[in-house]
Amino acid sequence: MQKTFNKKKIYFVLAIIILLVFLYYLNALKPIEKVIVSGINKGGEVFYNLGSNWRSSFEGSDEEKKLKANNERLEKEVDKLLAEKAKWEEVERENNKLRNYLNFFEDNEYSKVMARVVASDNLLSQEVNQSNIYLNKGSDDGLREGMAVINEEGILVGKILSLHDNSAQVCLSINEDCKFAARFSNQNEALGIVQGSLGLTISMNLIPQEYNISVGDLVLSSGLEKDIPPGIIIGEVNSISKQSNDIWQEATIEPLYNLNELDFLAVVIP
Amino acid sequence: MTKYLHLSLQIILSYFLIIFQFTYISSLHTVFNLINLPLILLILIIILGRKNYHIYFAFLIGFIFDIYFFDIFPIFIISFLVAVMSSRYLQLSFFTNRSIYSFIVITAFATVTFNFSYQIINFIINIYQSSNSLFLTQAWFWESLGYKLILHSIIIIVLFYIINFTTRRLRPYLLEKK
Repeated sequence: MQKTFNKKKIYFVLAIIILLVFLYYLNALKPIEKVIVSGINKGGEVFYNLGSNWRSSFEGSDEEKKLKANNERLEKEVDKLLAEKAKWEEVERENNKLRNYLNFFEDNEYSKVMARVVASDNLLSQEVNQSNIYLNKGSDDGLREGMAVINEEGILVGKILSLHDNSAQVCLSINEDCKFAARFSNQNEALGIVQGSLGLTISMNLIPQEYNISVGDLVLSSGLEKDIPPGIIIGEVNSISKQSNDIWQEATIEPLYNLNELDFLAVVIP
Repeated sequence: MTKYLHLSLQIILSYFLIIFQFTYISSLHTVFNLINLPLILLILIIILGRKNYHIYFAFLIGFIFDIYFFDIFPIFIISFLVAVMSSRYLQLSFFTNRSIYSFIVITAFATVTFNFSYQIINFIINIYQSSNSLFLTQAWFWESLGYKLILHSIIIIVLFYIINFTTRRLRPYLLEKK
């Protein structure tokens, strides 16, 4: 019986690996990549949903309590927003008038590319909740690295990290590797960078003490990033940490999307 | 011809298994999404497959992983190869039978080797990043490795009994005196 490593076998294996590396970085494996990725996309459209539904039912009981509490909070929020809406409608009317005078071209509409979540890479990721998700659209569909990904309510879910021709890797906003330039809804200047924390929430550090922020404030994209338009909701302030002898304060931000309901997403094309 | 047809069928089935791994397994609850079905398939090929098949399939499976994921190429090919070649060496050197204990030990060894290989290569490549910390000191690594060992052992035990009851591959050969 063969008990020792065969040197010839090892050299053969190394030679194949080196050849594959050359071919990969020369983009010679693109046709194979397209076939493999499209097969996985097709499979993902069927299987990813099944797994998500099973996971949702498994985590259902905790989710129900969360939903009830969320419901009550949101009802109060709706009342507050109705009052704000009236105020902003007046501001918009004024804005329209001014734009007409100055002959500006107003375009608030972004184009979007709809995509489906087909996989995630949690097999070897650093933290259990730090995985990235994969969409079934890629550079062939006009996507670029750094573009924002939103859910059906317009909430920012993440941004594109890397692309194939027909798939995209998206980091979720709760992922530590995912950062966004952000501002608070009641402030006009960009205040800083939000970053995922522990795969559960988002945090913003180094906020100057003179800025008045409170629990419940919305955090929006600031527009400083090239491919992310301003005004997309990132989350809501959950808690604030500030000491009177500190220069900075920190905010913990709760993402407003449900991890178990990431099925169809939209990539915002600025 | 039958041999090549058989091999082609095995390759296609492996591809479908990988699709199932990337799509269904990855969407499951926190612990169950750590299951690595392609690695379990390679372990079965190591123990029951023909000579060198474990290397060919490690190349194939690692290649598909490297193509789809955006990690540095060929991190998965190397990790799978290290796992299968060292597990095969362990099997030939220490386990002369095909008992359930050999299945479990080889599975555990392959799981540990694969995860260590991947993390070591990842750490070396990202050594200059300030956020890069040694995985050995991280609780998440040991926690996820523990879950993987338990889940893979359970799956391999189930598969062992299924193979034992449905085929003769694991039956001992007894010599009759005439």
